[in-house]
Amino acid sequence: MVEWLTDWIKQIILLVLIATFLDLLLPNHSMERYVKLVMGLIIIMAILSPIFKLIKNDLNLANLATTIQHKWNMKEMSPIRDIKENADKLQKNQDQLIQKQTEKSMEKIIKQNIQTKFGVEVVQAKVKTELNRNHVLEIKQIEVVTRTKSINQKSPTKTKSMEPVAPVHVEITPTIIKPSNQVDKSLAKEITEYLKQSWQVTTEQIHILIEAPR
Amino acid sequence: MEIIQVVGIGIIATFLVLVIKEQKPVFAFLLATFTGIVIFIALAGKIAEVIRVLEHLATQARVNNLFFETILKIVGIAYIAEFGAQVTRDAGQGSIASKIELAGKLLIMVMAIPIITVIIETVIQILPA
Repeated sequence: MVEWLTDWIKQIILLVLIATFLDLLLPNHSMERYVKLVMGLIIIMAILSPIFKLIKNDLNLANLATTIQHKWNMKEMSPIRDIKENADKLQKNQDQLIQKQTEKSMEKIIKQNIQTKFGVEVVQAKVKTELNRNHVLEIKQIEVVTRTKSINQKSPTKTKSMEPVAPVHVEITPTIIKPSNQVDKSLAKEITEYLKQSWQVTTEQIHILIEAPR
Repeated sequence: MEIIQVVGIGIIATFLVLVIKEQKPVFAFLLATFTGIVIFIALAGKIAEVIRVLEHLATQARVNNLFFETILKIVGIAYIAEFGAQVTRDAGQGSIASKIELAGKLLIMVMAIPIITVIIETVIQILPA
């Protein structure tokens, strides 16, 4: 800063000295006015040179700013699309996760409730949900596979007996469901009724299969 | 000591011109012009020294090159125009001398044009937001 100031002042002083010298050197007075005018202009230029620099810098800064802004806009334009895409993806993922989570928890609750309420073993409970237009999950289908407990069965054997049943989760529509006997039928009906009441679903949405005890 | 040489040449030339002027005025004029040129060239070296010193100072003080060149050109134009004008005036051609001076003035003003344009441009840049 100080260096720059001394440079500037040196320049002005030297120019003034040269101008006076020139006045002395000039051969006659007819040229004097013109030379004085030009020298005055040069000295004004020297005095104003910092302002010129400032203006040039300002212009550069303005250009820079506009270019940066331009770039910024250009950069921002494409990301917005990307961001939106990402947001959509994330939203979908989240919705799916929520759906899965809800289904799982619902299955758990149904399993527990039926097991405690009807005293049967629930082999499998499957809940299918779907997002409706208002992005709210709706129950589409409830599938329950139960097995009437044999009285002398104990828990350790239960886990063993479950294994062979696992592959049996075939899609079973209500028409196919044909409970083996009247007791099972009434049990299925009761379970359906209970599910209808507790989950606010229609009969068509509930599929119940009752297996014979092993 | 150079001033004595210059003055000596000048006085001798003046005597010779006075002697010749009666017989051959044209030669008298030629002699006067030649003497003037010789003196001018003899002094050109000194002017060069002065300019060199100024140039050195200017580069040391980091004076803008454009300014310094313009100043030197103005000095040169002034000197040459002055010399030509005086020679022609000695020959009794006052009108040509004034034309030469006019040319010199014009060229000096032309020198100022780049500086004036820069100043005007700056003022115009400053004024509108």
